[in-house]
Amino acid sequence: MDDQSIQDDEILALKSIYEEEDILVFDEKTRSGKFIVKISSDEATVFQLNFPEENVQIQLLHLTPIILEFYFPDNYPSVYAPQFKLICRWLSEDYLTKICNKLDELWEQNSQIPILFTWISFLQDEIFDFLSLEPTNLTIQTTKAKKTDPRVSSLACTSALLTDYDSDQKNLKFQKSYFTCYVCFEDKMGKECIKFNKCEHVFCNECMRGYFGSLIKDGNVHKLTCPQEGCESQAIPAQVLSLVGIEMYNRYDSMLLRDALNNMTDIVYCPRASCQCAVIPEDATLCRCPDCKNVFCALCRQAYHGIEPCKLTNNQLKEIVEMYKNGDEEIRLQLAQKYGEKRMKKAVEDFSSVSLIETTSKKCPKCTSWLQKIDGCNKMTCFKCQCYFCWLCMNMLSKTDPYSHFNDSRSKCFEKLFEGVEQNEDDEFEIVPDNFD
Amino acid sequence: MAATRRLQKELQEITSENGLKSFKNIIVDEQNILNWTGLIVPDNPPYNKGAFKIEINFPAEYPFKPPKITFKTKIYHPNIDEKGQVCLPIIQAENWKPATKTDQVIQSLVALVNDPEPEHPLRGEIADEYTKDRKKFLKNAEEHTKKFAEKRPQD
Repeated sequence: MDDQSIQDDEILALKSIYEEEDILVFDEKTRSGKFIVKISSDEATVFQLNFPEENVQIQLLHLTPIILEFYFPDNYPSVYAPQFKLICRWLSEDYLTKICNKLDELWEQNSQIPILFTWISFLQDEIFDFLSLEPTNLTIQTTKAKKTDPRVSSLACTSALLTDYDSDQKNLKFQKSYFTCYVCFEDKMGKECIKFNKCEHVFCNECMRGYFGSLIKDGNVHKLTCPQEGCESQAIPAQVLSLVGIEMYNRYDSMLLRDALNNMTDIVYCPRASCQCAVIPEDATLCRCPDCKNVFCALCRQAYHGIEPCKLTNNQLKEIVEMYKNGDEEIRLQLAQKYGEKRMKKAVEDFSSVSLIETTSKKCPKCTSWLQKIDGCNKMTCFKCQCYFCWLCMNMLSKTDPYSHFNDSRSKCFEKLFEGVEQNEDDEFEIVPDNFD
Repeated sequence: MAATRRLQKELQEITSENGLKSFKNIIVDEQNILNWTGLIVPDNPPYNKGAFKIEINFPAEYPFKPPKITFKTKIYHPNIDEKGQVCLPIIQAENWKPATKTDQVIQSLVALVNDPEPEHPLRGEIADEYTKDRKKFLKNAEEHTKKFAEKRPQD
């Protein structure tokens, strides 16, 4: 067999041994190629690296590879060894020089037979022992050696570069691994899954999209957590975005912001229906909307009226709306002239939706969010501020023992935990009120 | 539908040989996999002389929303009211986690039946009796079980 056939066979054999993509590249024309020697720990031992210059210590599962570039001369392996070059980040030029000499030595011992596999095996399995290095205590030196082999090249090595490579490799491994999603009980590839950062629990994207979507629709924006029993790891915003899409994410984001603003008591919302921007009053009554430039009164939310008292209280407006709704053409015309037709129509609309809300919902006694009870017992948990209260008497309940309110014979709601709860005799006829979002 | 696929798997697991010992005779509505009934078979007196029929209703959004459980057999128990309603923390909306499986829910329910929690009662008078006059409670509950409970299924 001639040298070139032996070379081709060697490459073929290596490719079948190392199936991983891109680990071995060989160009048949130039007879040159490179092999990427991956240095990964077996999960049990973690690489620990010290960077004296940065004064940091990091732990990694994957070190950046040692790259072996090679060129086959015409008469390899019958006469000459392959020419090669070693490239690495975390090994100093000193160490790489030592390795070069060792590779030469290995060729001397095994000359005239294909050598690449011997070299690769040595690089993969023996370099720590050969260099007397402790994988759990590696010190990175960046000082240049005085006399180095021209065949070595030590690349820049910082903790950030190595950490990035490590997390890329971990991610690659995650993408290719199989996981059981404990929401749908199906096995999925990592690339179809998300991993919660803190707890590292893995669930499939499809389930998480459904779960988070359902929570956001219900306004439970603070509960976007890992679905594992008893686990409270939060999803990070980027994960939420990639799962639910931009439209739903914007809704989620604005609800979070609104919640945060609602906790700031001095915020007033711009009364323009199309604007609704959060405004901080400049004094007791003056509000200037930064978005639509509307200037309005913080108390009545009508156009700003200086030191004049607010013209219409909510109740007055309600009365006028009643008059407008029940009145004949003439009365309507009069009211429209007095208060403006647009405003009257808007008020009628507002009040009809408010009264609809009022008949089916109640306000949380703590944060005054509107709550609608669809079913379940009378111990309510506010979806927004998470406080407990009684649906019957609207009193706040003890955080530690909310049920005592229904169990104490002195309480006016004694034994009324399920009072007013409709039993579904036949589920087919169950009607779930869904009047507003 | 996500709910259907998951419930089929849960059903398979729960009715297999390694399924729950304390939950038997599981019947699933042929028209609607979201509706299950079954018999709770408690081990502790005074409930170990009978079995109790429960209904589990899974919402269409299951497992994103929790199932609901009602007792169809009358039971004399501080934590279960006359209408068969029970407050089980694991399936309350604010505590619900989609990775919680039905067998965990049933286990938690059986644990509550076996060991009442008089600190969080739905029926104050039974809870009072349970803490103050255990003998009387046991007698009443046993009589009640004999009168109303279902026969325990053979193993």
